[in-house]
Amino acid sequence: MVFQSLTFLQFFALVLAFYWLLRERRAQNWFLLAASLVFYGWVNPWWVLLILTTCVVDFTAARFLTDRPQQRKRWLVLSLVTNFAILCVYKYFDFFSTSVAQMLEQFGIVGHPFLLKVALPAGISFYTFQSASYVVDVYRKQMEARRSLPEYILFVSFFPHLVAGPIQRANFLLTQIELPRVFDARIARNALVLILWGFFKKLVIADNAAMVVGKVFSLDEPSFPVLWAGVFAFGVQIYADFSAYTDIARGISRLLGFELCRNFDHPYSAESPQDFWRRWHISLSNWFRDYVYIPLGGSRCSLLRQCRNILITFLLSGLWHGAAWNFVLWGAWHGALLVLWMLWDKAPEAFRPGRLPKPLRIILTFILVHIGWLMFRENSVDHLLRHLSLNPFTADATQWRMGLFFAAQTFIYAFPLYLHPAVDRWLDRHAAAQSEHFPGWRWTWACLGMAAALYLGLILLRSPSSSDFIYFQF
Amino acid sequence: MKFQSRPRAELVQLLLLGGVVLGLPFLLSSGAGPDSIKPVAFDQERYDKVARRHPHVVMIGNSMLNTRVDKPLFNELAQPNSIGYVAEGGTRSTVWYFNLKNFVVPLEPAPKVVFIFYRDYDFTAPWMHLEGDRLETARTFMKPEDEEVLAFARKLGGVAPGSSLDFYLPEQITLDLRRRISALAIDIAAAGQGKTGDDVMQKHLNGLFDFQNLRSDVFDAGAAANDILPGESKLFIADPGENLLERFHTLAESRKIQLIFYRVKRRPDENNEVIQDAELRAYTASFKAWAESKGHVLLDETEDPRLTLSMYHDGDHLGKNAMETYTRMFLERVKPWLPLPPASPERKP
Repeated sequence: MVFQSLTFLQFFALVLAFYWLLRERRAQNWFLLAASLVFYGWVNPWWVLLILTTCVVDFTAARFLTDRPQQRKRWLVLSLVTNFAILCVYKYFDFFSTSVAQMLEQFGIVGHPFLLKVALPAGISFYTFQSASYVVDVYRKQMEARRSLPEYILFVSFFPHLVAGPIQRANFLLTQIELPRVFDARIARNALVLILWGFFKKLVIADNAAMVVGKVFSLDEPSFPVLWAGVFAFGVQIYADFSAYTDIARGISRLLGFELCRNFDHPYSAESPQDFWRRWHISLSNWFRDYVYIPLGGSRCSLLRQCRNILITFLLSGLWHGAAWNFVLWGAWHGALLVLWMLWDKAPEAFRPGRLPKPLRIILTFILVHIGWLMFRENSVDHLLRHLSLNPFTADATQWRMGLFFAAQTFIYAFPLYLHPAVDRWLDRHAAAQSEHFPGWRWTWACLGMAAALYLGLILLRSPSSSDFIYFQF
Repeated sequence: MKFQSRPRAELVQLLLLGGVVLGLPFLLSSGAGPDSIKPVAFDQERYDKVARRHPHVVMIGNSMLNTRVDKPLFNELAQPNSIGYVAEGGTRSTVWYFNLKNFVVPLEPAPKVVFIFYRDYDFTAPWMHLEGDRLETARTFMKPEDEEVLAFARKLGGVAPGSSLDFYLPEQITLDLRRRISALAIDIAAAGQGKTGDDVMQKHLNGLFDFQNLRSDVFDAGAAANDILPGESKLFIADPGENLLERFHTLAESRKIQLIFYRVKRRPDENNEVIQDAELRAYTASFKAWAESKGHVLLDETEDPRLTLSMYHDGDHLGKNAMETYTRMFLERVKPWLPLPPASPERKP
């Protein structure tokens, strides 16, 4: 079930109405659990069994971790092996099998790779990471093992964020599930605006940019300017698409009385690759930081080891995104960027990146991130290498003009996205100081105006073709 | 339900916001969708043009017909048969039904044979291309009493007159805005090129996306123009409640006209073959069986190896250079169904 469908609208309207009619927290939780499983099993009911397996294994492992202290490691290993085995079978098996077969072919051993050809269950990477983090937190004694399995399953399968995050931590979402909720009209009002903004980003910005991206990436030999205009459009598409899902998920959760963590903080305003990862897919970055980078030694070790830790973390992050070499390459690119920027930061004072004017740092980061997007989007390695070796000086004036056309077209649709950081900054200065949820009639009119503008924009500017959210495939 | 205590006014504010979200579509609906306010504008001149030819054969279709058959050449080759054409780019089966009803059936004397050029699933998806500009085009083939058929066809696609979808989809405004945005982007890109800059840009853009410049690994020519959405039924059904096929038959039967459903070969792959899945093959076989049971014919050129990729220009359209060859091949294929035998064997080019 996708957010931008009438089926979901009907489903959510029913859920919302019945949910608030229930007075007891436990009843609300049971109801939300049932709704979440219906939501997840809508496309393929078998997926429900898979998520339940993950939940039961992790819940039990966490219980035994606490109850049998002498077997702590054993239970942790059992949980992690189960989680990652499921992930590997469904997501990575065919990729590794094909890669091994291709490698053997290089040595003259020709054979057909054994492929499972199973459909990738939606959101498997998200909920596996979320559930695994709970077990690790219990193992680290950062939280107590829970006693209620239904509440734990609800934490993992909570439908607004199940398919594409944000990845929640147990100490943030599970604790909310364990507390009574109240309906707050002020929060609901802001949630509606957030949902509308999410739909605007998806249906107007992302889907219109996707049309440019689709055209450019269907060209066999695009010229340098046309290709990079397409990459710029993809940068717009992926940010608008993914952040739209997050906004809708957060808005829906707020209507149900929950708060989900922020996943984006205007990533294209980042001043360095490090800064970009503090602003892009924040929940995943934090996950890798806490469960991979820091256990590897983090930054409290020699420079060489720190560089190794960064590279390993980003290679894994790339692989998390998809079972394909272009994602691995994308992860490696970002790892290398972070390492190089860190080394640049250790240069003599006068040559450090901090000496560059801020706009220049933002532009430089923007360009570097977009080179990464090319790797993310282009899944044919041959084409990728050809694209990366394109010479800007061989493109004639017409090609530059066509590149400019695509970039201008994307920019017009994406203008509200680029305006958003300024609006947010203004709101921070003028409104957030009063209250996070903007009380008073003045803000009501502002919210109403914004909602009406977004709604009109949705009706009049939405793309004629809409696709699934990009991160559904991960 | 537990409430956070807030001033009552804030609940009113929430209701107001909900009103915007839910009320705006209803506000728009009061003006009715732009689709439903256009009157029928039957193109009498076009009908007269067809009628003046007193055709033995009429050909109905869209760009599949316009980019395949070289009309002057076919008129010459098919003599003494007189041929009439009612072909409009972008039209689909509902408009072809209007073509048959309003441009063929009233002709005196009635033509003996009507060819209808189509692709794959056109006849079982009568709702296609009945919106925005295309709806305006459709109205030029309609008589006032055809509104019922139009509403029926649109309803099958989930768009009923006055339904919420009509005002969620004010397509003409949307199309206009999209055109303006595209024009603005072209203006920006063509800055400094003078008045002809836009035309030059558009020409280059068309050239850039010529089929020869597209990748084979990402571009699925079939899917691009198929118009069949994933998950949509691909079963052949001639039920009057599902499409207009029975109505086509009833009309044809009323004037003893034989219908020839002519399935064109879509853009083939590099081996000059069109990949057809089992569903499509089964669909075509069922369609053929239905047509024959009603005394009509289904001709399918999909397997014809003489139609090679090099003859195609963009999508399923043939290039101008291929039209003469195609027309001769077409005559050869349809000769048995022409009411009068062509007088002279076709000349070699």
